[in-house]
Amino acid sequence: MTEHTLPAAPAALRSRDRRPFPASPGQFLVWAAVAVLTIAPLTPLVITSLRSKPYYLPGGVFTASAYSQLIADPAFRQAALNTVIFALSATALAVVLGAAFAVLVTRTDLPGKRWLGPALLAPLLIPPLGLIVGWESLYGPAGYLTQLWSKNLHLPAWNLTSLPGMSVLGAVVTLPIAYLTCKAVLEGGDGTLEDAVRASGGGTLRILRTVTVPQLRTALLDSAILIFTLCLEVLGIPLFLGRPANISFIASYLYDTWNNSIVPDPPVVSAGAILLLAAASLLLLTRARLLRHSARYTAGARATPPAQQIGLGRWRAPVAAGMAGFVAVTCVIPLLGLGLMSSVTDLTTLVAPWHLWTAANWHEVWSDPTLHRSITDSLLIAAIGSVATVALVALATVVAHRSGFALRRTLPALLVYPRATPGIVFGVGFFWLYLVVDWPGAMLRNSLWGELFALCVRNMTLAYIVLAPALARISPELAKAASASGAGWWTTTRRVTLPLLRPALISAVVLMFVTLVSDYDPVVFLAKQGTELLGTTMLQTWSKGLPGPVAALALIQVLLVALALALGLGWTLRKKARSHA
Amino acid sequence: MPEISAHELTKSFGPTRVLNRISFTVPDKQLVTLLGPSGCGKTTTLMAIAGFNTPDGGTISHGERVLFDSGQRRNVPAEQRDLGVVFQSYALWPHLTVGENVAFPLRIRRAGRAEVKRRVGEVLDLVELGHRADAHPHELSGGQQQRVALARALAHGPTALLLDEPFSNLDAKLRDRAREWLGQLQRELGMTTVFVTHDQTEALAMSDQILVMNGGRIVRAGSPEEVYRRPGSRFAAQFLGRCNFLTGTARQIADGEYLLEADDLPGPVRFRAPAALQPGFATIAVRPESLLLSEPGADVSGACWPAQVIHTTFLGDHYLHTLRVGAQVLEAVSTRPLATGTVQISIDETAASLVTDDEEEFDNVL
Repeated sequence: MTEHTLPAAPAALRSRDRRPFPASPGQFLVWAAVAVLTIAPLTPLVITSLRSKPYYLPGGVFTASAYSQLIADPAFRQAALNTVIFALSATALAVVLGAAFAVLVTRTDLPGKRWLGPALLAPLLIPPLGLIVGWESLYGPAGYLTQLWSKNLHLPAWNLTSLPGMSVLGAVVTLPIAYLTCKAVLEGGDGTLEDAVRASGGGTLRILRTVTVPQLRTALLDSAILIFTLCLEVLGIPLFLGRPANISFIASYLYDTWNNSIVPDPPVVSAGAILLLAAASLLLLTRARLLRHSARYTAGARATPPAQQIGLGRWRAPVAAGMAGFVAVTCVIPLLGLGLMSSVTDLTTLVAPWHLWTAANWHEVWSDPTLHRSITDSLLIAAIGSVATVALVALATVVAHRSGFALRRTLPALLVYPRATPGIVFGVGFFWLYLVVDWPGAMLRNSLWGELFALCVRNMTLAYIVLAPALARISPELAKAASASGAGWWTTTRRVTLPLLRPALISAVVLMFVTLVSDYDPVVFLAKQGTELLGTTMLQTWSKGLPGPVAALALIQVLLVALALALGLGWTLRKKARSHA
Repeated sequence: MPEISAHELTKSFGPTRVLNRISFTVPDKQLVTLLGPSGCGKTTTLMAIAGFNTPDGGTISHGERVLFDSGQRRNVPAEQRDLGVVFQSYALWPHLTVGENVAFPLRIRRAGRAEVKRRVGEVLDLVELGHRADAHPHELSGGQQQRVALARALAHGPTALLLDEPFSNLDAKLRDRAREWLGQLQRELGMTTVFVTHDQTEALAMSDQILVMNGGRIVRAGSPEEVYRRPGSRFAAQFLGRCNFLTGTARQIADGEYLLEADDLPGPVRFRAPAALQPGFATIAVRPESLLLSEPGADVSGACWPAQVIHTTFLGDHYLHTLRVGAQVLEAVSTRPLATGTVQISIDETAASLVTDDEEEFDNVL
């Protein structure tokens, strides 16, 4: 073996006085930013809900009258009842279908499941307003396909603008949550459990009954509570579909009360928002409590062989066709309908669409300053907001999980809370915050930045749920090695941790961009003349009875989302190709 | 290169004591091994020296510098301790090339560009990987990754090296070679080194000194030979290899010399113990290779007893025999198969050593 000698390290190295940048003030700033942004909008909400008069009127006292007034209002009680019926039926449908699809995709030899599986996730990414408008224009009472069905074929038609009709759409939108939760459990499950049933002489149905479905119990409960909570705060569905039939939900009741009240900004709306918040928090706490022991019911980290696929036999083709049909009817056809509606003067079965061809809707989107501005403003907010949010959340995630900062354990809760809070609650909260806090509230109240804050804070959770698992997969020894090499916390974060997180950061930016383009409920109370966004403009244009431009705007939303996804996917694929080269 | 010393280190996680008043010194230029089963506190000790976990009490000093002192609330952050650490997973940053990995500690210290280049070359040549500077870690084999981790730990000229099970991710054959290579490198560089392992062969082969740990305490300390031949406790004896234990009454026959009389053995066994031994029951440990086997009727000096062969296992370079001697069952080894079912065994009188039961402190027997 050769003789080893190692000259001394460069002499200057240790003598040079390295003054490391102290980590904790910066970590505190990150924590403070997250804490203020998430807690601040909820505080004025509580206060205003307990005042007898709107905040800006003199002489109000603290009272619970807003709550009693709200509960005494028969319209609110009806809206609450509607909401619960809607939420229950949508949840039941979404969970049953989601679980069934998950079993079919993960456990059976369904043909074409490699693209059917991802296609089921489409409602997560299609802007919700676009989907609603697409459904309304095709399946609504005056919709194209409804007319074709009932007038031309004289068959009994469905009614989309009813509680059952809206529940179906609600289920379609929330189904991916149940599907993803069940799929994760099935994929992680112990395949030998099913083989054991087979070895004992059980058939396919017996396997499903004794192993597969019981395995899913926790996932079903989990996704059911989550979907139910989301359904409580639904705003777009009652605004677009419920209004013609005079069916109101809690969120739309609050929205209408806010817009039509004689006294602007009534305390009743704050009280309603607080009630909604309390209900959502209670449900999520229940969920956390019920799932406390869930680890007991999952298999260990031991690698188990995947279970043998269940053969569908002669049902293969019909089941696959049914699922493809479901995707087509719920997502693909409504998107096509959106395109059709944006390009005709009137969507009717009486005249063939090509006779009604027009570019007027698109022209209007281009020439009407409000519509035009809503696109550029939304783009601006999505571009700046996605990058800024991911930057803050990335730092907060690293502080939460890779630092010795004293308050780090509070960060995950602070980051998860905003998304658990109904969007409309956040909207009212931010409105009051800007009104109560004079500086910088006055400045933010009438500018795009105010809306940017509301949208970004509300959706911070999404960036966190992408980044936190990615960070957990990075070995803590990598950061320790940087420390051992002499790097302080900030240097380690900048040079090691964040670069390793890069793929997750890109995904988080894409997801945030997509969400910021489509989300609207946190800003319905903030949008003003001159600061319109795509979602709020669509709501207003729709209420003016102009479906054409709304369809055009919805399509633009869809295209922006598709573009962002394509860019993100392209980046990932290129990266993958390079690492394989 | 200065020594490292730890004094009265304690650490608890909740109700569990993972370090129980541990004190030791790693002398200058020596390689000291912390050896023990998982959960014995060896990695906790190493990471306390590195600065990645804070003990509840005690002091750690390195040459003139006090790295940790609970009394004075002094705790130098890991990044200012200027040690070289090789992690169990190697912890090479996958987004940087081999050269960039090794250059990192130098860049942190704001070394000049030319200086960084020269030093990275030197250190990579030292680990015989000068030609792979542009590769990414995932393109290297396990052994090469381990050497890059070592190069990175050496790059900034650390004053001591901390190794956390560096061979555990290598296959058996590679492990032997890496062990020899690293041992030789350490001796030639004269670097004060703390090495953590659960593999007794590694510990015996590489160390200047071994600290055997169990349940958060050091149960035996000494050179590899001392620790192997005079394990001091049942636990250390078993952890360092196969061992026979004989229990009986000890009787002093001369200064420091005793006879162990056991009911189930045909005759007494001589052993030495330095300190005055309390009269009464005692246990001694005898390694299988210290039992000398001979054919019946062969002329053997000293006491010898007949033994019946119960079972023989072939282990490649030797045979392991299970023998019945009186009422005792003992293990012995031989390089050749035994021709007969009955043999004579004798015990080398320097081979037997007194061991304590594990509840007692090892100091009591030394």
